[in-house]
Amino acid sequence: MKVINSELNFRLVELPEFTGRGATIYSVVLGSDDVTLFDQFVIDNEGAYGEEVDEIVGTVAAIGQIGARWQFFKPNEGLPGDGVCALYDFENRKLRLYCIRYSKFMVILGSGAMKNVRAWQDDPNLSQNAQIMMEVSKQIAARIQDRFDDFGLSEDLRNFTGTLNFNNYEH
Amino acid sequence: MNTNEKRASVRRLQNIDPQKRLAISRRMQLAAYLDECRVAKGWSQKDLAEALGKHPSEISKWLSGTHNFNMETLWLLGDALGVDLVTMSPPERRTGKMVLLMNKTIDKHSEMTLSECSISN
Repeated sequence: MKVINSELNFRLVELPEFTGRGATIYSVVLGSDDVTLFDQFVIDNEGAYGEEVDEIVGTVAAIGQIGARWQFFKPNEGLPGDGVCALYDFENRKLRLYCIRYSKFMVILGSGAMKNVRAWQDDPNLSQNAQIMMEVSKQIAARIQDRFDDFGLSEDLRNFTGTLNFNNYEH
Repeated sequence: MNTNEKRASVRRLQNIDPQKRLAISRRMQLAAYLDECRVAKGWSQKDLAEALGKHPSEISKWLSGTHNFNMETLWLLGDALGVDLVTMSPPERRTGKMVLLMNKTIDKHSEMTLSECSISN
């Protein structure tokens, strides 16, 4: 086996309670963790920002029904073309959840935090969360291009196909 | 890590007041409908902003699904987009309350009902 990319090991998991007729909702599990980044986001923020967390959780559920329309996301939170964007709670409030939007039919949820700085690069926690999603996007793009382990998008653009385990090793 | 922590998002979702979930869904459906009206008119967001005398960033907020519109803004938007967003239905049918009309271009299957917002364990 050889390392083919960065050291970020992760797997994608679908969140069936949030997936609906509008969009398929995925999240990311890092390394040997057993909690998704989205669940960790809830755990980390519900104590201090319960109302804001509920707003985002309710928004994700609505996206599952309505679809991941571009207008619901704050775009361009990552590199050009990598699809990294953010969901936020109430208008003019600051809780951010970083995501990768692949189409109206599919989104991957990461983690996030309260944004009290002008740019995420100015906050170590936000920066880490955004960079994880940038790396996830990069590895997914590489696998789609290489058709590694038959990884790709389903014809209806609603699901990933092939192995969802990104362990950085080529078998 | 126990199961409750593993599925914190599901626990949280199940504990949101169904009325609040419905409000979030309706707000986002209205935003989606407004954007479809904009597209049907062949307008960019900038065009809509200019028609309303607003800054484009304000239009982005309105279309984000996070904005809680007041009636005057809805009348303003409806006039600009050429659609009836707010109307008065006859008292014998809807007890005279104002109702939002957004059933023309949004997929009716995306309408989330109150019962759907109350998910079971």
